[in-house]
Amino acid sequence: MPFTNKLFGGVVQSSRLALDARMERQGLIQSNIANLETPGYVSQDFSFAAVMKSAMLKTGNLARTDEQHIGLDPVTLSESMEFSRDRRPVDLDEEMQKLSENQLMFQVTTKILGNKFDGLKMAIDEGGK
Amino acid sequence: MIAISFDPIVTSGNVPVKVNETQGAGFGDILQESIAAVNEKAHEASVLSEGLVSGQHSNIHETMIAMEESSISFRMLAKAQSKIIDAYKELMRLQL
Amino acid sequence: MDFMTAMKISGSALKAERTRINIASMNLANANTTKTIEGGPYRSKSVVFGATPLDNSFQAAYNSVDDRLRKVNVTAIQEDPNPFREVYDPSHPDADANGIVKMPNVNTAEQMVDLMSARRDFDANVSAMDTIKAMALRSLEISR
Repeated sequence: MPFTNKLFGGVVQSSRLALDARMERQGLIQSNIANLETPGYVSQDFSFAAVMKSAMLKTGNLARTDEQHIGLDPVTLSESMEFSRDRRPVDLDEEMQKLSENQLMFQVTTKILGNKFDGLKMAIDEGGK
Repeated sequence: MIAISFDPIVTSGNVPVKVNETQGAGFGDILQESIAAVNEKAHEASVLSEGLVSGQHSNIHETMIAMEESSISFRMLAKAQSKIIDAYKELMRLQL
Repeated sequence: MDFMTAMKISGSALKAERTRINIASMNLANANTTKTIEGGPYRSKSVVFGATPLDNSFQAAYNSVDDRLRKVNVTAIQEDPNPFREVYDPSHPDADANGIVKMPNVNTAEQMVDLMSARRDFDANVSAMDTIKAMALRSLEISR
């Protein structure tokens, strides 16, 4: 078992997945805001928690060297799209609120990840001295 | 990378057991695996960074994560290597 | 879904809303134009928005969320088919034999509302763009 799996499992792995999911959600929120008044457009979203749950269950080593697969496994995502709500047009207030929430959580996650990396470096450098 | 092999022969009963073979092989495997893992991380980081700077994708967070993981992996390996060398030197001193 | 894609979505919205604002402004400016170059009074115009998928050639087939992303364009600029207002004003240079002047079918109240609405939507998309920028910058801090 290469040490890299143990080192970067846990918080690093789930943070990575979380960031991927946040980015995907961001795309939908932006599409919604862009199409506020487009006739026929229905608001899109997915349940962040549901996607995270199924992504964490499935986690193997997602190939990151394949350009087309950078980020969250598309199959996981499409399965979770079942959780999006019923069809209705875009509600601006709701989207603005989601925008703030998504951004905030993204930043929280990057902070946690950054801290974790710092911690690892320190542990390696100081370890067993 | 220094390949470590011990030469003590331990006798258990009448049968001389070569300790170094089992120990050496296991250890060597782990080392090989680790080097391969570090290489893989480095490769990932390099592919993603290239893609990012050349505009093929703009997945910044994945690239940053790959870079950090690669850097930390190297660090880990370097640390492990220096520890192994220290242990080896210690051992050589003891044997003499 | 990456940053450039997100920027494209917001960018498209800013452009579309600007067109909408321009059209509304033009309508208001011409609310009393009784003679246009084509002849006849000015006809009120409106924009039609359409959602279009993004053309991410290398990601399209694989990423299911990318399939769902939409940018917005002005697909058409329509003319209001409502009839012109007829006003009795014989002294007007464009009055016909009966003293009737055909005035543009611009509903100024409606246009004002549309203008404000477009502005609000524009601002919302500016916020979305700012958010994406902030997230991109924050991502850079993962690797210090």
